[in-house]
Amino acid sequence: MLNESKRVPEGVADVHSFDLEIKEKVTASLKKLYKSYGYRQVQTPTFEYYDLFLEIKGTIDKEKMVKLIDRDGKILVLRPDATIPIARMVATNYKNDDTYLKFSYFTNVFRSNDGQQSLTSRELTQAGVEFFGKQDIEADVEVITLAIKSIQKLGLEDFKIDLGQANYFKELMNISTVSNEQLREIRKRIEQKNVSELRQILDATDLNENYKKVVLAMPMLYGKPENVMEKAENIALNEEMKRELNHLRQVYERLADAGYEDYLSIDLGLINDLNYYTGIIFQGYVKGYGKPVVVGGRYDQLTKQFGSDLPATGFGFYLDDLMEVIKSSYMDEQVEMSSDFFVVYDEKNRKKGLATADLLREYGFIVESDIVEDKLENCVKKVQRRNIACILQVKEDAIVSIRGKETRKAYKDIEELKSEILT
Amino acid sequence: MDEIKIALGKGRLEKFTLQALQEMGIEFPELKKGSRKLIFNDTEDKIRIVLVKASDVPTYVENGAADIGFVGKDTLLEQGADVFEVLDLGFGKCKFAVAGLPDQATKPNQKLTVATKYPKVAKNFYNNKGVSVETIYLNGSVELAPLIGLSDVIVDIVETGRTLKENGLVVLEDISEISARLIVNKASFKTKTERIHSFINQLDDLLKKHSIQN
Repeated sequence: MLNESKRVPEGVADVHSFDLEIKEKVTASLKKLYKSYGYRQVQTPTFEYYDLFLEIKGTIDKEKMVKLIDRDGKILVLRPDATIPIARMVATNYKNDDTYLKFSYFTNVFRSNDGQQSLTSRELTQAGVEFFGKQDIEADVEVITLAIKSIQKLGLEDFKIDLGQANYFKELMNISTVSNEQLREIRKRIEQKNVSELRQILDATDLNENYKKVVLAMPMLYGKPENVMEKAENIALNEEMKRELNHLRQVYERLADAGYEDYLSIDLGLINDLNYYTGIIFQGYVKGYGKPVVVGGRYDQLTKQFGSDLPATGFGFYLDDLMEVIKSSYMDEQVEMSSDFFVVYDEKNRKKGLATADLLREYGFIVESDIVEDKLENCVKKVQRRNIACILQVKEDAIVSIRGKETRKAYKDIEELKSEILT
Repeated sequence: MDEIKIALGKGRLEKFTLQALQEMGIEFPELKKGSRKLIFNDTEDKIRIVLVKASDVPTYVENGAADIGFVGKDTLLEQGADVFEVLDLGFGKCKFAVAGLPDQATKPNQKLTVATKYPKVAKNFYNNKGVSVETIYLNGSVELAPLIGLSDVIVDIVETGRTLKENGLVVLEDISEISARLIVNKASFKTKTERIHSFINQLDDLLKKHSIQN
């Protein structure tokens, strides 16, 4: 194995120029989108106290956090999640604001995933928005709309936003007598759509038959929104469940009304991270890509952990996953790293050469330049791999442009070159 | 129509799986002929089968390299994949068990060493019992370990119990039942909905028919 001074640790990687170019483009277009809706970008520290993340149940396993020891012996972690620090920031800094707050973020999160495979990355880029202080469904609708528009912006059409309602299941569990241990097992099976094992677990409990039937139906409450909601309405055991369902129905209807019907499906078995999410939740999938690219939902309880009480909803995109999805389409478009001009000159004409290069840059071209005393052919060979469209040789009496192998053209001076290039 | 990719584990479950697929009208004549190819296309039905090592099936499905996988619960318990586990296929039944020498005296106040191909399963089992153990990972012939003093007991799959018997070992404790499962990638489940659901339903009907016949 290569010496440690020559390789990077497992789970992190260099980002090459082509990849970064695409990532920057994606980031720029998302930034523009979020800004146009009034979301203001914020940034939280790269490391914070371990305790901050430890006290929030149900999000990141403590084994997965990357830890550091501070000078005074306190444990720090590299930011494992984007939302919790922003909630902390909002709860402690904007306590007395009685208006709503809209924030966006573009940040790296760090998680040590020590699965058997070392495929999994320890540094991930996340992009997303958080909407604080507005409890009504209009906020849910806006956030989901933004998630949809984000994916559309990237030129993807074949995707699904899967909507769920955490409270439907919560209300169902509120009237049960199962132990926490049993509840965990039941939840896991619902999440996995594992009906056969769910049945076994329920059979071992003393819950009444009707109640078991409803729990057993949970994994199957997915698919076309109208059908699912009708089924869920019919099996709902009390008014609370119906109320939560109705909430989801209204969100769905408003999104459908905006023309997003085709992108939406419903899955009431979507109940991950229930300690955290408290209402409408959603995940986005792009066809042909195996993992969710966006995860979001309402988390009204989170700021309470910091002594505030702001309802909130938001989402986070896994930018690296999204990059994998769109990279293939960018490849087709032949987005290449390239420069427009390479200006060469000899020692004597250096000043004129640099002036020519600057002029071209002013017009928005990407221009490289260098002194070439050697034969021009050798120079052409050397710069080939840098993907340069045109070489300009600045001489005392003329400027010669060389495109490809053959086409040479001579210009009398900068003025003539300018008029030619601008037309 | 969307193409679906099915990951199929070689070995224990292969025969049953191919039979189930055949009954669903999905046939790969080339595969039956004992070809050494690892990928088979049914361009008409838009189905592609990839033959992979059984323990790799969850990896293929979790990452979306395959939409659907046929895999034993043993592999799922050991690997812990983030997938939908939609059907218990009922075939390939066996169990996880602790086995050892018949006159195995329980050793209170002593560390127990466990040889296994399934360290995660073994650790979970003993953790839940509150017993601390040392696991020794082996790739095969696990039965040998207690015989030559490498470990006190083993945790392994027991199908008929024949291998144990021939080596003078007995089942000391059952851990859990195992059977073949149908797993589905979460994204495929949501984005290739119709195709995947009709596949699941077709297979489910087939299983129901069999269970009535039996």
